[in-house]
Amino acid sequence: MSKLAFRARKISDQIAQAAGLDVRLLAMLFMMAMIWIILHFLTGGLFITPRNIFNLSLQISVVGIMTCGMVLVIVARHIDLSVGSQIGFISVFGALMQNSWLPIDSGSTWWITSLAMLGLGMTIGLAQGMLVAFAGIPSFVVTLGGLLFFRNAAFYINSGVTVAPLNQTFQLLGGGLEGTIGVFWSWIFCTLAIATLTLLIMRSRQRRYAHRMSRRPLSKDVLMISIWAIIIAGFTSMLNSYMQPKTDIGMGIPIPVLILIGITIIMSAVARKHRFGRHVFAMGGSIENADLAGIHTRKLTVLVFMLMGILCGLASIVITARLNAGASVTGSMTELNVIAAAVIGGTSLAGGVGTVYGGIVGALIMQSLESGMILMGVPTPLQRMVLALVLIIAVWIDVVYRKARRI
Amino acid sequence: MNLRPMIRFVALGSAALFAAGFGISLSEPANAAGTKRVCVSWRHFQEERWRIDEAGIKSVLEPAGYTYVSADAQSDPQKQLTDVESLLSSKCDAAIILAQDSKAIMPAVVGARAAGVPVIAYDVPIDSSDVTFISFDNVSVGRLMAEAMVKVKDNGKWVKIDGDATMTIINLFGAGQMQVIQPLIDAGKIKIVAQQNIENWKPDLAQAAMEQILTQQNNEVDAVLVMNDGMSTGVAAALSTQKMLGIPLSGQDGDKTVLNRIAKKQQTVTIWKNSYLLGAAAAKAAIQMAESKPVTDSKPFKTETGQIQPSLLLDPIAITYDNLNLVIDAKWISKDELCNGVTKNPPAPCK
Amino acid sequence: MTKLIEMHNIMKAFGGVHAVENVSLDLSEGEVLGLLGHNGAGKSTLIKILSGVFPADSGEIRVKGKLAAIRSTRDAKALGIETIYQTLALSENLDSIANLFLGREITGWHGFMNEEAMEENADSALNRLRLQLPSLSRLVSSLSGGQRQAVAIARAIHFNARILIMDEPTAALGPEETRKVGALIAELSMQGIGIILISHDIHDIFDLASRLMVMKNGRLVGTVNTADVTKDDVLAMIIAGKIPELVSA
Repeated sequence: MSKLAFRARKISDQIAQAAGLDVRLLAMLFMMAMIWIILHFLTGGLFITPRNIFNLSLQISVVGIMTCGMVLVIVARHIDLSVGSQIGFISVFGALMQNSWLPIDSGSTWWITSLAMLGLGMTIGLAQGMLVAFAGIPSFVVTLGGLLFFRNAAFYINSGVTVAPLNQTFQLLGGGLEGTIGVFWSWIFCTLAIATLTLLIMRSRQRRYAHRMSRRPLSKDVLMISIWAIIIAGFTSMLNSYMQPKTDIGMGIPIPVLILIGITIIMSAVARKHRFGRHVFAMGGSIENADLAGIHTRKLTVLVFMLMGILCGLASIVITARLNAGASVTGSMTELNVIAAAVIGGTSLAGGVGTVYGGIVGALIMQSLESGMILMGVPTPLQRMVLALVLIIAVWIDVVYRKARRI
Repeated sequence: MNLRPMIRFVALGSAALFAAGFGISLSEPANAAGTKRVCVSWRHFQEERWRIDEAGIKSVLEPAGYTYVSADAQSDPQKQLTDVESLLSSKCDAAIILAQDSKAIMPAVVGARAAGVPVIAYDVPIDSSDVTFISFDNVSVGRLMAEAMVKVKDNGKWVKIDGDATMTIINLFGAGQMQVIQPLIDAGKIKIVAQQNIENWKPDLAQAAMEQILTQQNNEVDAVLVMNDGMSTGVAAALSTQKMLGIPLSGQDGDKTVLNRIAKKQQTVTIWKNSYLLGAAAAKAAIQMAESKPVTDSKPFKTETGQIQPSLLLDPIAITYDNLNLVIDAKWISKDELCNGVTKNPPAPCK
Repeated sequence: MTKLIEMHNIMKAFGGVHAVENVSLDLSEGEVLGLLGHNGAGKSTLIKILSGVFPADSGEIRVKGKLAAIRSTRDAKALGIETIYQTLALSENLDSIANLFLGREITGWHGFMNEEAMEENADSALNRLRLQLPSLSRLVSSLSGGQRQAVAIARAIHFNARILIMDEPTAALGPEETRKVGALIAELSMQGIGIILISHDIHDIFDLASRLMVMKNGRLVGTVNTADVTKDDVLAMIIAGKIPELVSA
């Protein structure tokens, strides 16, 4: 088994060298493509259609936003078990704010509520982070307490009563009929995205030239830009082909998906290219070394949890707007989905290793399987069992892959 | 500044206060002799409805001079056993148990009966001839729900959204539903094109499941039979994205947001259990049992294993567009909450 | 001429144990000072005080004559004091460039790192030391012992170190690499950098250091010029705490 793994590893390393991309990410994207194709056949041609891709992208937005934060938490060698309960609590809070405490029709209600929800998440993160960093309580314990505390707080603040309806503008943040940017703006977004990507790659080339370093062959960069352009344009075109029911108007990219894309790009940039991200990785690899290097590890820990809290607030905004209600049971058990996505995406629970993109692909794989199985009419308990097996297999492959390196 | 000792001190202090408070709440008051007490063990108090049951119970106990004590098992069958033990140690004259798990609760029931305390199985059945079962007729729930739906549309492609697969009560709801639906299926008029159980009855999961089902059926769905209101909110969100809100849709529990949807003709029915009345009935029965009197109007009920137990089964009410006045009159929901946003075709109470 | 480093009457206790008791040390520019002693003699503690890992309980430190308050590793680095730890203190999950610049990354816009600049600098830093690495962007975990040593050394001297502390620099190296490190130390001291070498291996130290300081049980046994003593004399100092006759204060 190990010889096979070693050979597979060698081949994939060579491909990675050639493509200049992270091998693991490539493998996961390949696996996802395979899953999509298989599901497309098993569902009788329903899976890779504008409508299903539209729904799928909406369905992963909440878990995706949270995964971006959870990757960093796990890389820092911590864990946050409270994220599902945070979403529930913040959801009821936000629904109450716009339904009962503020005038529901006012033009400013939506952004005041949104800011309040983000602020609440940040505060929860701050409190948990401080307990971990300064009181020295293990994050497992602190966030387990958070899980119980906020799940019950979510029921307590409104006696478990679901709060609805919500402010009209706020609802847009959840997608739905009006919550997309439309065909025109989707194409603008697509163009901007491809243009920005091209610019960034060109700038990197130019900087390397200025520092007298070797650059990748121009053909490889052109190839990469082309592949990404095809993916972005294909995605946009798919979403634009999904017509509003009973009309000929294309929907375009839903707002939560834009939020997810934005957060993914920002968090990935922070993790890989920002000093903050670099320090988090160092801290997760060895906290002693990070301290010796002069990194303020305690402050860093608090910031990581605060960031997770803000992203919980954002995810809560999306899920509340999408449901058009604040229900106290929202988010329950979601922490498991988020951690699973991060882990499938290559984040190691031992700390120091992980990527944001990987986590998103992990979330995509899990949700694709779940949504596909519903399309196939698979009974719910069986769905859960399949997803559990997928998680174990995915991590098993990862362990074998990492071990193969040592040979 | 080393915060660690201070934080630990605060944590310990809080824990100590909490333990003291908990102990006090369960311990006997100094002048315990002669206090008449009814003990209630909730399975998960933190849901929308149980406060109302509790209010109903208290409304009968207090004028009769009985003290109300309770514990919340927070969905944990093990904790519920400990809860009942603790409650019994404070000398109950009668016990009302809303079981999290009907089978796991048996030791607690046996213990109570051994101590000579009469036991009421509240809302959730307990399979023993030694308890009195007080509940809404859960089979009725399913039946009334299906009847209200069929009255609006008795054919076509139906979708069934059911509750958490691990909870046996869904079998009772389902049995009632099938009493009405099955003959129509056999006659070829109704076809169930999709069915999903929703983990933990979560609204957002119901929303995603419904989205997928609508995709699978290409929106050719004529009615959705949903087992509770929380899930119906998720289904409604999915329907509205497809501009299908308004097709027959059911629920259970009488959630205020759902009643509002019914007023707007966006949902067909919700099964309302006036749990205040149920609580009151249970309290009345508890007092009668504590005083060794027979329970009025009790009828024999056959359990799963064929044992016979005394029971009081109240009938739930199907609330539809036509009888919304019932929930207003019972002060379950205010007129403002019911009629919020109702513009076209207001129902009678909103005019 | 002012000494590069002066440590006067340093005291440090952990609980009831005196790890360092009334020890003084001085170092001149371009000098290589060897610090010797058994395990638990207090050498590492003394050096950690100088590199800012923890502060002394009492005593004073002067850098080029000026009183210095060293409360963190950042403070020490700001004064030009760089340390190469026995374990090298490299982060296994990062590459050589990241390790070189850890905590001192070259940043551009709002904290985003200028990776091209760091790579260029890392390249030239290693070249200057005539150290070769197969690839700078490989994770440190995949490098050999000697290669890691190279990264640790490059990190220590890249940021204009005036004082270099090396804890057991040759412990994990073979003879060839030991020779290279020795040549490097010689070259650095010629550039005026003061070097403190901690070692338990007398033979290596004798070849490299011009002065030797011996500690035992937290106290200073004595400081001697290498030229004035034999290895046996030094051994006696380490083991028995016996000061040789020809010592000059």
